[in-house]
Amino acid sequence: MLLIPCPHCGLRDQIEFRSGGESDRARPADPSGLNEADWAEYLFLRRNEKGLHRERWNHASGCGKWFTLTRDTRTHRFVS
Amino acid sequence: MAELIRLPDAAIVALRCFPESHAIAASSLGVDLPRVNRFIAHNGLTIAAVGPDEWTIVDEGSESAALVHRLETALVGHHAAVIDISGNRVRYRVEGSDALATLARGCALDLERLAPGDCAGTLLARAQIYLLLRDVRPNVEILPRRSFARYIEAWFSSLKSSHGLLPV
Amino acid sequence: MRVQAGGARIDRNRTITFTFDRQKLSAHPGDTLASALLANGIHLVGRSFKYHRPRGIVSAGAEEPNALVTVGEGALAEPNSRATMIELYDGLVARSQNAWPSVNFDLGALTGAASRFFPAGFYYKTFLGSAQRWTRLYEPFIRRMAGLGPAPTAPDPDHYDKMHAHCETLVIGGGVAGRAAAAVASGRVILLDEGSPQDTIKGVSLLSRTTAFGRYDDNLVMAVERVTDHLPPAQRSGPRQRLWQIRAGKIILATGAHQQPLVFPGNDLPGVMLASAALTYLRDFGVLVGRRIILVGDDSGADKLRAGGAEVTCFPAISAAHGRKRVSSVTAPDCRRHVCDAVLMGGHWQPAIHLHSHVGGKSVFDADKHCFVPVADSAQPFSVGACAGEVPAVTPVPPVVGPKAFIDLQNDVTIADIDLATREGFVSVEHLKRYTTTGMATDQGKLSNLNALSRLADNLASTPGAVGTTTFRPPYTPVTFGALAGHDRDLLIDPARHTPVHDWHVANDAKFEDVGQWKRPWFYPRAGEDMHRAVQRECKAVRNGVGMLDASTLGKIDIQGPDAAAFLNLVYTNAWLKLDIGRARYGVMCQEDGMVFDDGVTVRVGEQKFIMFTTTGNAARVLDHLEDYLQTEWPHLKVWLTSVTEHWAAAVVTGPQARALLSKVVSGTDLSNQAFPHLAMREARIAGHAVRLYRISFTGELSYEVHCDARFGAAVWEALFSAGAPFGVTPYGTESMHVLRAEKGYIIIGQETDGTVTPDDLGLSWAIAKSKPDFIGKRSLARPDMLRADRKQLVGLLPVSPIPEGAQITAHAGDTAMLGHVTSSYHSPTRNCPFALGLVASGRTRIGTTVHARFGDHSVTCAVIDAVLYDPEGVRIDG
Repeated sequence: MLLIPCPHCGLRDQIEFRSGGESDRARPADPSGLNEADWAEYLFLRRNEKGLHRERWNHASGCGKWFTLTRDTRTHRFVS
Repeated sequence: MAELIRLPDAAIVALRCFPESHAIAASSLGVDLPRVNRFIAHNGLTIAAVGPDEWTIVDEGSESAALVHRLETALVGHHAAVIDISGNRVRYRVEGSDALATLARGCALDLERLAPGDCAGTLLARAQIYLLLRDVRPNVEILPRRSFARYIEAWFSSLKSSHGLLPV
Repeated sequence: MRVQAGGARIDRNRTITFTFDRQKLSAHPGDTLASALLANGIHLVGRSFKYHRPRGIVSAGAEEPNALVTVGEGALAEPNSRATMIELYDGLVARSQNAWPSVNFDLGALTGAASRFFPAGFYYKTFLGSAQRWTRLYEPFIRRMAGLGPAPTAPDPDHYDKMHAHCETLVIGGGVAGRAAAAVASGRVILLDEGSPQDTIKGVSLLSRTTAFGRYDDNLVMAVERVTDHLPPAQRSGPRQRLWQIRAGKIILATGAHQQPLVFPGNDLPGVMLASAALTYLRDFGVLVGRRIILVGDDSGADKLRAGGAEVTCFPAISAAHGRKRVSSVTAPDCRRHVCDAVLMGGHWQPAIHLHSHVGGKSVFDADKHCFVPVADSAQPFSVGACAGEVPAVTPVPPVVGPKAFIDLQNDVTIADIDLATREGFVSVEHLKRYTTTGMATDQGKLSNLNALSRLADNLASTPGAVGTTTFRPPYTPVTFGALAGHDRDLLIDPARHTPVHDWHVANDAKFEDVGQWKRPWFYPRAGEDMHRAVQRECKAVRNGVGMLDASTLGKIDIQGPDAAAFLNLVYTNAWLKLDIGRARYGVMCQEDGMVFDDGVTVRVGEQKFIMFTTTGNAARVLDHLEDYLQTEWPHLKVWLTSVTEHWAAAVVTGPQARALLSKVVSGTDLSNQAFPHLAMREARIAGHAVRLYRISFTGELSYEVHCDARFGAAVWEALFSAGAPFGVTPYGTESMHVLRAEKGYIIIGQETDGTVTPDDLGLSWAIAKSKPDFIGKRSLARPDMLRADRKQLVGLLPVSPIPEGAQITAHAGDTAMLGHVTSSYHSPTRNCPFALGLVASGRTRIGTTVHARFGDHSVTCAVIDAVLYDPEGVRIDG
């Protein structure tokens, strides 16, 4: 059970959060302009890093805000 | 053990706005907007900052429509929203010397570290609540969603039936 | 037997009685069940897991592998309790386990005689063949023969409490090292002590009878406090146990160390125990475990035992121990037999590094002490005392190979099993564990892992450090399910959500259906009615008169801001920019993969204000989905989203008489079709309360949804119902709602959809605005697979006899190739025949043909029809 640093509420228990998976995957500005392979890459593929992983969290039971953190997937430690 | 006391329904309004609108909202309410996870009780209003751009305002003195109208009028031209959410939540007071230990049965927050005027959106058992520490006595107010009221009451009953509160 | 020496923890002036295997025995307050049994000269306390060998008490603590008993009776019985950890109380009832008919004469011991046929990997090598053989033959046999105590079958009558706590310093272990660490710690300090209460320490919250069983990320420790287990049942009040979830700034481990058994033939006989345990029994309980003691290995305790009155002979090693139900002699290295009544194993020590290791703390093998010691790491807790490696340096006694030389007493794993596994190639310590089962079960290898992996290392000409340990995982000691559940049991296992009208439904005899967490009225049976007849009656009332449904559970999202319409245009598949104020529109929402996610009506309340209705089950998910896109993909859009699901209570008034009903109670608006058309909204008042009226129909009939502040939801509902009395207004539930909408071919998310269904599959391509440059899911809907002509499409089915939902659809009666499945199936009240909806490959081109619904051994012919069975022209919507 992680303690997750919400930028608005401080350290809170993991049960208050929802994970949003890998971060930094901006939705393409014009999805219709993408070919099949590029769209499939956006839609389905994730890097699944071992090590430092930028990921999205939502403080669902708290302030409701989405934010991005970097976590070391080997130790579960958040790094700033 | 601590008592769970249902408080009368009141008008509740959500205010959503960004910092550029804080001053206008404050002058309409007659008090500065608290920063996130703090609340202010002023002139029958309780204004709780439940998010960085979200306030839950409880008005025990008037109809919700009046408060909505007052704030909406003040905030014309601003990117702000004022929403009547009076039905969304019910209010309880948890009162008693062991109020914090009672809540700690279902809440992972470090309740002992809260100061009067602190509030939080969090979980109590399996229900999302807003929690407001009114007083160090302690006097804690919790606001679960209306449909969870019976669950919260049943959960407290379960604590009572196990009547095994020990000092921490 | 009890002696004059020692006895620090018992009160010799008082005597209490207890029962073991129906034998009434006496002891002193302060005794554990183990010390009391030993004081009464009872060493044989159970039978072993696999071979049903006689077993005794090995240890004096949490690491006990053998002395597992069932404590208490009936529903209060607790199997697999360690006798060494049970604080005795007057009247305690305990019994031995895994023995039939008795621990002294156990028929299961025949398996012990045949033990050479039960080698390592026995299960994997023997129980081969069909699944049927497993369920009918092997599993019942194994469950009967091998195993621990049976769990009680009655519901647990005890209460269990749960508690969150926070502190700056958490000290685990109430021994000398732990108490010293707690005394000097700063901030809020909690000290967990497995034993009975000791003297308090100033500034320290001391939790006695509390075992930390797991450490998790970010200094979370879970512990179980045994609140009343030490009291006679009649004196217990409050919870039996309390689960502590403690979040600490800093953790100090002072969890001690476990002396390890020696390996020699007969090392499992009752009367063979750890030397340290014998010293504990003497010091704390005044119990001498034998008169003629053989002490093997570390002999540092010999003098204390002699002072207690025993004759002690010390050997550096022995070749074997002998006896049947208790050890009676040993063979010394000189091959001579020595008579004895107890053998004490002076093995080396293994620090209890479990909690250190649970979150990835590393350990290293200390060759001098022959044990694994924790590696100091600033990211891990600080270990002090024995668990940090401050244990006596004891020269390991080499194992003696021979029959019945056990490595793992709880799992009946012998040294020969380890050797066999090595020869068969199980040379990874994790494989060895799974193949031989060594280190499993309730003791988790506290007294076996080190010996097992040392032997493995010897076999591989390696070292224990190179072989390594298996992964330490919580729980350190067994935890009752009741403690983990706490208050979250029975009705509290998941919150039940109630609408503002709930009490009315109860008073009107509703049967309830769980929809997500909501309790929704399912149907309202009248006297003598079953569900089918109640639903048919309710549906006919709606079709011919007027019905009312509590729709308060619908998700409702307030959407405001200058970009609200643009936002809706992106999240729905259809067009939203040109909706007039006061008008409503049906919308379909897709995920980015193009699959239908939710549907519902959204209403333009003002120029920059909308209210969106979602399905009951998806209310939270839709808001999350919208917030995610708004906050992370389109933060430039000026939109506010607010859940108002619970603010608005909602009543559906539907049927040809709906307008007549409403006109009796509504003031402030004109209800005529001209003034208030289908898919429009008006504000009005009912019974003095402000309401919003929406012309939205999910039945195909003239319908009004009446929404009001939930605080007045019950009052408005009752006003409507009273007004409906002259029209015979009929409350209906979710079952009738399903039938009525299915007759109209309206989908239900999660019933017609399952995350693989596109809008076009559902016949909703009219709701896709192809001219919009973008919306969530648009790009995916252009993928080649989405355009295939043989996709499954929603159609209506008219079966010749009732078919169940989920039935497979095939082209011909004998086919196995599946064309699709039945998504909804009911009895049509208007046509008085069974009908269904189904997703069928190329379904729309099959309209007018027949298919077959297959279930079990049945095959039912179905005519494929359009999905809209009732009023396809839609003339009834205006009443």
